Amino acid sequence: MNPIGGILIPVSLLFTIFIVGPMSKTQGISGRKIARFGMFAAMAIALGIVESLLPDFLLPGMKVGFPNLAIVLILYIDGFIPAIIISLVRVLLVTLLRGSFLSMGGWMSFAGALASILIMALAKRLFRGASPIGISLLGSGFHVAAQIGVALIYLQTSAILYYLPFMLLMSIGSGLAIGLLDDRILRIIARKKP
Amino acid sequence: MGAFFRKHRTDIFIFIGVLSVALLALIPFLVMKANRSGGLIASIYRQSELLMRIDLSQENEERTFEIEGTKSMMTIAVKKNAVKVAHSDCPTQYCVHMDYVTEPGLPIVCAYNGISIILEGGGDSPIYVG
Repeated sequence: MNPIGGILIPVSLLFTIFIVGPMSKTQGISGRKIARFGMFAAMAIALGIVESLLPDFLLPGMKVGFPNLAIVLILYIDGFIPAIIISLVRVLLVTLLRGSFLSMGGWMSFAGALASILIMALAKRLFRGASPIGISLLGSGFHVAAQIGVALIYLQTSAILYYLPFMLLMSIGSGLAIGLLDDRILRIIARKKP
Repeated sequence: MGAFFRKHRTDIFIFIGVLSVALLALIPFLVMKANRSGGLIASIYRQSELLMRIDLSQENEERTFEIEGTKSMMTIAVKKNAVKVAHSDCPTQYCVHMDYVTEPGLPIVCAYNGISIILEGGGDSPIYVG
Protein backbone atom coordinates (compact mmCIF):
# COMPACT_ATOMS: atom_id res chain seq x y z
CA MET A 1 0.00 0.00 0.00
CA ASN A 2 1.39 3.37 -0.95
CA PRO A 3 -1.00 6.07 0.19
CA ILE A 4 1.35 9.02 -0.13
CA GLY A 5 1.15 9.89 -3.81
CA GLY A 6 -2.53 9.12 -4.22
CA ILE A 7 -3.54 11.15 -1.21
CA LEU A 8 -1.27 14.16 -1.54
CA ILE A 9 -2.62 15.50 -4.79
CA PRO A 10 -6.29 15.66 -3.74
CA VAL A 11 -5.27 16.91 -0.29
CA SER A 12 -3.23 19.80 -1.65
CA LEU A 13 -6.02 20.61 -4.11
CA LEU A 14 -8.62 20.67 -1.32
CA PHE A 15 -6.31 22.78 0.82
CA THR A 16 -5.87 25.31 -1.98
CA ILE A 17 -9.58 25.47 -2.81
CA PHE A 18 -11.02 25.70 0.68
CA ILE A 19 -8.39 27.46 2.74
CA VAL A 20 -5.97 29.43 0.65
CA GLY A 21 -8.54 30.29 -2.03
CA PRO A 22 -10.90 32.23 0.26
CA MET A 23 -7.89 33.87 1.93
CA SER A 24 -6.70 35.15 -1.40
CA LYS A 25 -10.01 36.94 -2.01
CA THR A 26 -10.18 38.67 1.35
CA GLN A 27 -6.49 39.47 1.80
CA GLY A 28 -5.40 39.95 -1.77
CA ILE A 29 -2.88 37.11 -1.79
CA SER A 30 -1.20 36.59 -5.13
CA GLY A 31 -1.43 33.38 -7.15
CA ARG A 32 2.25 32.90 -6.52
CA LYS A 33 1.67 32.77 -2.77
CA ILE A 34 -1.30 30.41 -3.15
CA ALA A 35 0.88 28.02 -5.10
CA ARG A 36 3.58 28.29 -2.45
CA PHE A 37 1.16 27.64 0.43
CA GLY A 38 -0.23 24.58 -1.33
CA MET A 39 3.26 23.33 -2.03
CA PHE A 40 4.44 23.81 1.54
CA ALA A 41 1.30 22.22 2.96
CA ALA A 42 1.83 19.23 0.69
CA MET A 43 5.50 19.11 1.69
CA ALA A 44 4.69 19.22 5.42
CA ILE A 45 2.03 16.50 5.04
CA ALA A 46 4.26 14.29 2.91
CA LEU A 47 7.11 14.63 5.41
CA GLY A 48 4.70 13.90 8.25
CA ILE A 49 3.45 10.71 6.62
CA VAL A 50 6.92 9.55 5.62
CA GLU A 51 8.05 10.12 9.20
CA SER A 52 5.11 8.19 10.62
CA LEU A 53 6.14 5.20 8.51
CA LEU A 54 9.70 5.22 9.88
CA PRO A 55 10.41 3.24 13.04
CA ASP A 56 11.13 5.20 16.21
CA PHE A 57 14.71 5.31 17.24
CA LEU A 58 15.94 4.82 20.81
CA LEU A 59 12.75 5.87 22.61
CA PRO A 60 9.10 5.14 21.88
CA GLY A 61 7.56 8.06 20.05
CA MET A 62 10.91 9.63 19.23
CA LYS A 63 10.80 11.29 15.81
CA VAL A 64 13.08 13.67 13.96
CA GLY A 65 10.32 16.19 13.21
CA PHE A 66 10.68 16.42 9.45
CA PRO A 67 7.44 18.42 8.98
CA ASN A 68 9.10 21.20 10.94
CA LEU A 69 11.42 21.63 7.95
CA ALA A 70 8.52 22.96 5.89
CA ILE A 71 7.00 24.91 8.78
CA VAL A 72 10.21 26.83 9.55
CA LEU A 73 10.60 27.62 5.83
CA ILE A 74 7.08 29.02 5.50
CA LEU A 75 7.52 30.94 8.78
CA TYR A 76 10.60 32.66 7.34
CA ILE A 77 9.18 33.23 3.86
CA ASP A 78 5.56 34.20 4.55
CA GLY A 79 5.35 34.89 8.27
CA PHE A 80 3.34 33.66 11.23
CA ILE A 81 -0.28 33.41 9.97
CA PRO A 82 0.37 31.16 6.95
CA ALA A 83 2.80 29.10 9.04
CA ILE A 84 0.30 28.37 11.82
CA ILE A 85 -2.48 27.58 9.33
CA ILE A 86 -0.27 25.20 7.37
CA SER A 87 1.04 23.61 10.56
CA LEU A 88 -2.46 22.94 11.92
CA VAL A 89 -3.78 21.75 8.56
CA ARG A 90 -0.83 19.38 8.46
CA VAL A 91 -1.65 17.97 11.89
CA LEU A 92 -5.34 17.63 11.01
CA LEU A 93 -4.68 15.77 7.77
CA VAL A 94 -1.84 13.56 9.00
CA THR A 95 -3.82 12.50 12.09
CA LEU A 96 -6.91 11.83 9.92
CA LEU A 97 -4.84 9.80 7.48
CA ARG A 98 -3.13 7.84 10.23
CA GLY A 99 -6.32 7.29 12.21
CA SER A 100 -5.03 8.97 15.34
CA PHE A 101 -7.41 11.95 15.09
CA LEU A 102 -8.84 12.92 18.52
CA SER A 103 -6.86 10.11 20.19
CA MET A 104 -3.97 10.70 22.56
CA GLY A 105 -1.44 10.56 19.72
CA GLY A 106 -3.48 13.06 17.73
CA TRP A 107 -3.71 15.51 20.61
CA MET A 108 0.02 15.11 21.23
CA SER A 109 0.74 16.04 17.61
CA PHE A 110 -1.68 18.96 17.82
CA ALA A 111 -0.26 20.36 21.07
CA GLY A 112 3.32 19.86 19.89
CA ALA A 113 2.72 21.58 16.56
CA LEU A 114 0.85 24.48 18.17
CA ALA A 115 3.44 25.02 20.92
CA SER A 116 6.35 24.84 18.51
CA ILE A 117 4.89 27.26 15.95
CA LEU A 118 3.89 29.76 18.67
CA ILE A 119 7.30 29.71 20.34
CA MET A 120 9.09 29.90 16.98
CA ALA A 121 7.07 32.95 15.90
CA LEU A 122 7.62 34.58 19.30
CA ALA A 123 11.34 33.82 19.33
CA LYS A 124 11.74 35.07 15.78
CA ARG A 125 10.27 38.38 16.88
CA LEU A 126 12.13 38.59 20.22
CA PHE A 127 15.60 37.30 19.33
CA ARG A 128 16.51 39.37 16.31
CA GLY A 129 19.95 37.81 16.08
CA ALA A 130 18.71 34.23 15.93
CA SER A 131 18.99 32.28 12.70
CA PRO A 132 16.65 29.43 11.67
CA ILE A 133 18.98 27.13 13.61
CA GLY A 134 18.14 28.63 17.00
CA ILE A 135 14.47 29.06 16.12
CA SER A 136 14.13 25.44 15.05
CA LEU A 137 15.95 24.33 18.19
CA LEU A 138 13.42 26.14 20.39
CA GLY A 139 10.51 24.87 18.33
CA SER A 140 11.74 21.32 18.66
CA GLY A 141 12.22 21.62 22.42
CA PHE A 142 8.73 23.05 22.99
CA HIS A 143 7.24 20.44 20.69
CA VAL A 144 8.55 17.73 23.00
CA ALA A 145 7.53 19.58 26.16
CA ALA A 146 3.96 20.06 24.93
CA GLN A 147 3.69 16.41 23.93
CA ILE A 148 4.87 15.27 27.33
CA GLY A 149 2.33 17.65 28.85
CA VAL A 150 -0.53 16.05 26.90
CA ALA A 151 0.71 12.56 27.84
CA LEU A 152 0.75 13.65 31.49
CA ILE A 153 -2.87 14.77 31.31
CA TYR A 154 -3.96 11.64 29.46
CA LEU A 155 -2.09 9.02 31.48
CA GLN A 156 -2.43 10.77 34.85
CA THR A 157 0.94 9.54 35.98
CA SER A 158 4.11 11.49 36.56
CA ALA A 159 6.10 8.47 35.36
CA ILE A 160 6.03 9.99 31.91
CA LEU A 161 8.18 12.89 33.19
CA TYR A 162 11.16 10.56 33.18
CA TYR A 163 11.06 10.69 29.41
CA LEU A 164 11.37 14.47 29.38
CA PRO A 165 15.16 14.88 29.75
CA PHE A 166 15.90 12.20 27.15
CA MET A 167 13.35 13.54 24.71
CA LEU A 168 14.72 17.08 25.24
CA LEU A 169 18.29 15.95 24.62
CA MET A 170 17.21 14.18 21.44
CA SER A 171 15.20 17.23 20.39
CA ILE A 172 18.38 19.31 20.51
CA GLY A 173 19.93 17.03 17.91
CA SER A 174 16.90 16.94 15.65
CA GLY A 175 16.27 20.67 16.06
CA LEU A 176 19.86 21.42 15.08
CA ALA A 177 19.67 19.15 12.04
CA ILE A 178 16.39 20.66 10.82
CA GLY A 179 17.65 24.18 11.54
CA LEU A 180 20.92 23.73 9.65
CA LEU A 181 19.04 22.32 6.66
CA ASP A 182 16.53 25.19 6.72
CA ASP A 183 19.28 27.77 7.07
CA ARG A 184 20.95 26.37 3.97
CA ILE A 185 17.68 26.18 1.99
CA LEU A 186 16.74 29.77 2.89
CA ARG A 187 20.17 30.98 1.81
CA ILE A 188 19.78 29.25 -1.54
CA ILE A 189 16.31 30.76 -1.98
CA ALA A 190 17.64 34.24 -1.11
CA ARG A 191 20.43 33.90 -3.65
CA LYS A 192 17.98 32.88 -6.38
CA LYS A 193 15.71 35.90 -5.83
CA PRO A 194 16.07 38.60 -8.51
CA MET B 1 35.62 30.19 13.93
CA GLY B 2 35.32 33.53 15.78
CA ALA B 3 33.12 34.86 12.99
CA PHE B 4 30.86 31.86 13.38
CA PHE B 5 30.40 32.52 17.10
CA ARG B 6 29.67 36.22 16.52
CA LYS B 7 27.15 35.45 13.82
CA HIS B 8 25.37 32.74 15.77
CA ARG B 9 25.60 34.25 19.24
CA THR B 10 21.83 34.18 19.85
CA ASP B 11 21.61 30.65 18.50
CA ILE B 12 24.30 29.55 20.93
CA PHE B 13 22.41 31.17 23.83
CA ILE B 14 19.27 29.28 22.79
CA PHE B 15 21.27 26.07 22.50
CA ILE B 16 22.72 26.51 25.99
CA GLY B 17 19.26 27.34 27.34
CA VAL B 18 17.58 24.22 25.97
CA LEU B 19 20.54 22.05 26.96
CA SER B 20 20.52 23.30 30.55
CA VAL B 21 16.77 22.68 30.86
CA ALA B 22 17.33 19.13 29.60
CA LEU B 23 20.20 18.56 32.03
CA LEU B 24 18.17 19.99 34.94
CA ALA B 25 15.36 17.60 34.09
CA LEU B 26 17.90 14.78 34.12
CA ILE B 27 18.86 15.38 37.78
CA PRO B 28 15.90 13.55 39.43
CA PHE B 29 16.60 10.61 37.17
CA LEU B 30 20.25 10.45 38.21
CA VAL B 31 19.36 10.85 41.90
CA MET B 32 16.98 7.92 41.58
CA LYS B 33 19.67 5.79 39.94
CA ALA B 34 22.22 6.70 42.61
CA ASN B 35 19.78 5.79 45.39
CA ARG B 36 19.48 2.30 44.06
CA SER B 37 20.45 -0.32 46.58
CA GLY B 38 19.50 -3.95 46.90
CA GLY B 39 16.49 -5.43 45.16
CA LEU B 40 14.15 -3.84 42.72
CA ILE B 41 10.49 -3.14 43.35
CA ALA B 42 8.04 -2.84 40.49
CA SER B 43 4.93 -0.75 41.01
CA ILE B 44 2.14 -1.20 38.51
CA TYR B 45 -0.26 1.68 38.13
CA ARG B 46 -3.48 2.01 36.17
CA GLN B 47 -3.61 5.78 35.58
CA SER B 48 -2.90 7.08 39.08
CA GLU B 49 -4.21 4.03 40.95
CA LEU B 50 -1.64 1.61 42.35
CA LEU B 51 -2.58 -1.93 41.30
CA MET B 52 0.27 -3.85 42.86
CA ARG B 53 3.83 -3.71 44.09
CA ILE B 54 6.12 -6.63 43.40
CA ASP B 55 9.48 -7.23 45.04
CA LEU B 56 11.43 -8.36 42.01
CA SER B 57 14.39 -9.60 44.06
CA GLN B 58 12.12 -12.39 45.39
CA GLU B 59 11.13 -13.60 41.90
CA ASN B 60 13.44 -16.53 41.30
CA GLU B 61 11.32 -18.21 38.63
CA GLU B 62 10.05 -16.46 35.53
CA ARG B 63 6.26 -16.13 35.71
CA THR B 64 3.50 -14.25 33.92
CA PHE B 65 0.18 -12.85 35.12
CA GLU B 66 -2.68 -10.82 33.73
CA ILE B 67 -3.75 -7.35 34.78
CA GLU B 68 -6.75 -5.38 33.70
CA GLY B 69 -6.01 -2.18 31.78
CA THR B 70 -8.47 0.54 30.92
CA LYS B 71 -9.28 -1.08 27.56
CA SER B 72 -8.17 -4.71 27.68
CA MET B 73 -6.17 -7.29 29.61
CA MET B 74 -2.39 -7.18 29.56
CA THR B 75 0.12 -9.90 30.32
CA ILE B 76 3.05 -8.97 32.52
CA ALA B 77 6.12 -11.18 32.92
CA VAL B 78 8.48 -10.99 35.88
CA LYS B 79 11.74 -12.70 36.70
CA LYS B 80 14.57 -11.92 39.10
CA ASN B 81 15.11 -8.13 39.08
CA ALA B 82 13.34 -7.69 35.74
CA VAL B 83 9.85 -6.97 34.48
CA LYS B 84 8.29 -6.70 31.04
CA VAL B 85 5.00 -6.49 29.22
CA ALA B 86 4.64 -9.88 27.55
CA HIS B 87 1.42 -9.18 25.71
CA SER B 88 -0.75 -6.15 25.03
CA ASP B 89 -3.51 -5.45 22.53
CA CYS B 90 -2.29 -1.93 21.81
CA PRO B 91 -1.61 -1.01 18.18
CA THR B 92 1.85 0.45 18.76
CA GLN B 93 3.37 -2.34 20.92
CA TYR B 94 5.93 0.11 22.35
CA CYS B 95 5.62 -1.43 25.78
CA VAL B 96 6.15 -4.96 24.45
CA HIS B 97 9.17 -3.91 22.42
CA MET B 98 10.85 -2.46 25.51
CA ASP B 99 11.33 -6.08 26.61
CA TYR B 100 12.72 -6.78 30.09
CA VAL B 101 13.56 -3.65 32.04
CA THR B 102 16.18 -4.11 34.74
CA GLU B 103 17.15 -0.55 35.66
CA PRO B 104 15.13 1.87 37.81
CA GLY B 105 14.29 5.11 36.07
CA LEU B 106 12.74 4.78 32.67
CA PRO B 107 9.25 3.39 33.25
CA ILE B 108 7.24 1.17 30.94
CA VAL B 109 4.23 3.19 29.89
CA CYS B 110 1.31 1.76 27.94
CA ALA B 111 -0.77 4.69 26.77
CA TYR B 112 -3.47 2.47 25.29
CA ASN B 113 -4.33 0.74 28.55
CA GLY B 114 -3.31 3.53 30.91
CA ILE B 115 -0.80 1.22 32.58
CA SER B 116 2.59 2.32 33.82
CA ILE B 117 5.18 0.11 35.47
CA ILE B 118 7.73 1.92 37.56
CA LEU B 119 10.90 0.31 38.85
CA GLU B 120 12.33 1.51 42.12
CA GLY B 121 15.62 0.56 43.62
CA GLY B 122 14.70 -1.05 46.93
CA GLY B 123 16.68 -0.39 50.09
CA ASP B 124 15.85 2.03 52.88
CA SER B 125 14.63 4.98 50.87
CA PRO B 126 12.43 3.94 48.01
CA ILE B 127 11.32 6.84 45.86
CA TYR B 128 7.62 6.80 45.22
CA VAL B 129 6.61 7.99 41.81
CA GLY B 130 3.11 8.37 40.46
